[in-house]
Amino acid sequence: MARLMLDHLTKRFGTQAAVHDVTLDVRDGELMCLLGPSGCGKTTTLRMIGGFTAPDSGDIQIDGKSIAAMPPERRPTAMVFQRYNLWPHMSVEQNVAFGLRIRRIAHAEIERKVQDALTLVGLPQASRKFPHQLSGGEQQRVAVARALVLEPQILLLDEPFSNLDARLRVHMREEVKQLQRTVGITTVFVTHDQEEALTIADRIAVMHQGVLQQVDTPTALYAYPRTLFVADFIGTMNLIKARTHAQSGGTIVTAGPWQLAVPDRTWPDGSEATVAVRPEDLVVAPDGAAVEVRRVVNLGHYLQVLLQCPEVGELRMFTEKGAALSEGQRVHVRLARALAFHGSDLAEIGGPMRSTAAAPADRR
Amino acid sequence: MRVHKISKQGALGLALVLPPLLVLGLLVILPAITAVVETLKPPVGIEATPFANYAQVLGTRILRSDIVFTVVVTLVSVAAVFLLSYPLALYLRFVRTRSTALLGVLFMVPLFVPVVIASFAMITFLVGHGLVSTLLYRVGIEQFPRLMYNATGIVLTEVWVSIPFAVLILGAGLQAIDDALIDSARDVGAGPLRTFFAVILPLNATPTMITLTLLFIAVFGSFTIPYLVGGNAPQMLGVTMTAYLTQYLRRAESVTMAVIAFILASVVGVVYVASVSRRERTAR
Amino acid sequence: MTRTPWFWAVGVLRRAVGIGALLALAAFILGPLATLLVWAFAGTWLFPNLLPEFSLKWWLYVLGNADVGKSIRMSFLSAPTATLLSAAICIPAAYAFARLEFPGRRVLLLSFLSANAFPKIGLYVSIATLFYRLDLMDTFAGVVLIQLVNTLLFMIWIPTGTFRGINVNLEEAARDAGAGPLRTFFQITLPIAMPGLIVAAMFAFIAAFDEAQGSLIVGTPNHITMPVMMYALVLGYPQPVGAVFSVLLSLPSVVLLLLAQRYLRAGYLAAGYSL
Repeated sequence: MARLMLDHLTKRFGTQAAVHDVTLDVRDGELMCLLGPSGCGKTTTLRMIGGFTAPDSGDIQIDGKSIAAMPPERRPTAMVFQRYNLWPHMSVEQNVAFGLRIRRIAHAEIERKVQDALTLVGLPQASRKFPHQLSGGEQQRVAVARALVLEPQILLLDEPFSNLDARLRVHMREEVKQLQRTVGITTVFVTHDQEEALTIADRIAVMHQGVLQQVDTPTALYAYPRTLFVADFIGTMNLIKARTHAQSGGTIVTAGPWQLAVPDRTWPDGSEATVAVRPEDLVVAPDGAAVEVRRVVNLGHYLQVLLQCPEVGELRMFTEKGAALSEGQRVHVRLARALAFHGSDLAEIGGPMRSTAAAPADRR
Repeated sequence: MRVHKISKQGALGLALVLPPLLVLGLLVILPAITAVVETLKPPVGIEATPFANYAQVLGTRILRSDIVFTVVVTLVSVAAVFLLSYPLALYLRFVRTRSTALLGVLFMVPLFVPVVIASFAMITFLVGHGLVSTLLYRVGIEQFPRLMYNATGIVLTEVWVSIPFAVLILGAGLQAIDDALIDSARDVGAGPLRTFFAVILPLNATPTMITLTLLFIAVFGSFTIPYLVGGNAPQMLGVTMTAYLTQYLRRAESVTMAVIAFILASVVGVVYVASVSRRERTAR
Repeated sequence: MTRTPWFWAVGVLRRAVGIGALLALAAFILGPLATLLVWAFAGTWLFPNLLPEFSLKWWLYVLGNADVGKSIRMSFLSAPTATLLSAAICIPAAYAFARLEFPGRRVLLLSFLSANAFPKIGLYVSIATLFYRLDLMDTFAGVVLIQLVNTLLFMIWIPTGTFRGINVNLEEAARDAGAGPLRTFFQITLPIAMPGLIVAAMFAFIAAFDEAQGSLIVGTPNHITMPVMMYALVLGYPQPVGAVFSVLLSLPSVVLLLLAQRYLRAGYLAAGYSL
């Protein structure tokens, strides 16, 4: 049981900042995902926690105690890498027992702990096998067993399933989530796959170009993205270039054919803004703007509609499966809910998020 | 504190590298420098210019012809090794039958044969009444050019000992070329020869360079093979130098020739280092 | 395609030429060795007989020669010593070249290649002077040092490549589990690297064992190695004598060749290496 604190961590490679001033608080027993595209700094951050990369500045604390000066062998962290976890010249049993043997634990107890760990990951019969005799998924499971057998305070996982095929990936991430819940260990999980993060994380820290964009629960991340990057990165989002018009008591934002009122903001007149609209928040309504239906894709329990909007371009809309829409048809569409981004400011327009079966967060 | 950590790794690295570096320094670099310095001191009684030794060596007709002979033999040998090894390496890479595995082992054999023995074996094979001439005699051929104790003997022996090395390095490079790249070239209609020159050779450039360079340096400076297998004149520089030192006791000329040979070999080496460094930098 | 029959015929012809070329090459490689082997068991071999009169008398002659015995002992003592010494100083250095960042790393690595560029004879002149001053001429240590220099290239370059090929994650995983740097090196890195290191040791041993030019200068007259002995035998004795000695001199290489086969087939070689 432990709380992990990252305090203004920075790491530079050459002149580039791979990780820039990252401050993050991981709660006891939480599964925190570090999510972002390649090169965003998530793996570097994880490696700094594990002790494999030294930060240029900043601190790392577990339960208030700084570990930044400790070499990896002394840290109460355990890491599962993306590949090359298991030592090929040792059996599964020897792999898992390695850390225990270093700690000079009694022979009989080592045997018991190893067997328990292997059972926990669903491989009770594997102890005599060698890594090359196991499948990719089994190897990763043994790696998890080896990490957990040492009873670490923090579990670190670096895209452990990226190398497995899609179906196995889904299965393994569910297993890890179950395991993490059962054992209750504080976990940091790095991934570039947002579906993976949205499915298993308690909270997600989105990173982009070394900078922490937003830390929130999957639901909140989906409904209230705080930066344009997060809005675009999580789920599907329509982004519309917009202009502001100052008004008495507020601002009007003109996005394509739509005019949106932002009563609680006074943004300068004529400046640029971006309006972000979820596909499920585009609704067919008589008072909406006129757009043309380009294509209708039937995805089973909902329809994906591609709209062609003058001044804006292509927009994506999700709607119920019964809707009477056909190609070439002209419809009137309004924005039930949207987010207006102006510089570093953000305003919500319209009601709470419209829930449909399409929203991935709701699948939990 | 972070800067201190980096230089700690640097200090450790240098410390670990020091022992073999010392050996290299004391037994190779230092003697080499001493030798060069020594050649720049003119012998007593001759005009006091630093290059007097070089002028004398290059001015001697016999020695000049030895230098030319060495260069020619080296170039011919390297070319021959290449012409034999590349097709072999390509064959081993692209043809996968049961016999190719056996073939692969076969062509590695000269690697495990000491050069002295290789030379002697070639002598018994190619000499006037050796196996080749016996077989040719049996078939009715009594006259054929001399294959031993001349340049031909040297070239054949150098080729014999060098094939495994060349096949290994070229082969390793070929392994790294994805089948897909070859297939797509053939797909757009390139024949085998064009595929080789347009796709394979450029992608295998570094191993090719390495092979050419190391082969050149090795053959150029070789002693044992020309000593046992070569004729009396002209001679390869390795033999000439040794003779001047141990037989004629003309140390100054011997060392001067060594430096000249080194400079010639270095030119080739510099080209190699330049191309490898450039590749390593782009690869990172 | 109407072209098929013609193409097929050419294909057969091409294949025949290909196979012929391979056989010719194989004959070129094996021929000299076969000839030598036959000579080793020849009493006298007169031209143009295809085979000689067989006899073992030259074996008795060679094995009975005291100088030959001395040279065999000298070689089998000095070459392993040089190889082990080389491994001891070069393998840690190779690890440093592979894993650590330090100033001049690339230049220093390439410098080991330079050792082979300068003609040996030029080096040996200066080395001889140095050895005279250090009283190393005609000593066991002197011969070992000469052989050592020949092994440096193999003992640095091959292990460096081997260590580089081991994915860093494997070592990091050991550190993560609680192993310090030394334990990680000996329990994880070294065992995984072993096949590559053994190959390096084999090449190094062969290089040390076959070294002739330097040993000729440094080892005469009391510390003659087998290759140096070989020069004398080739130049001054009947062919069977040289042939017999060649067989003796090749034995270590043959043994190593057989051992190499086994190591290059080890099952876990592929697992730990990344490209």
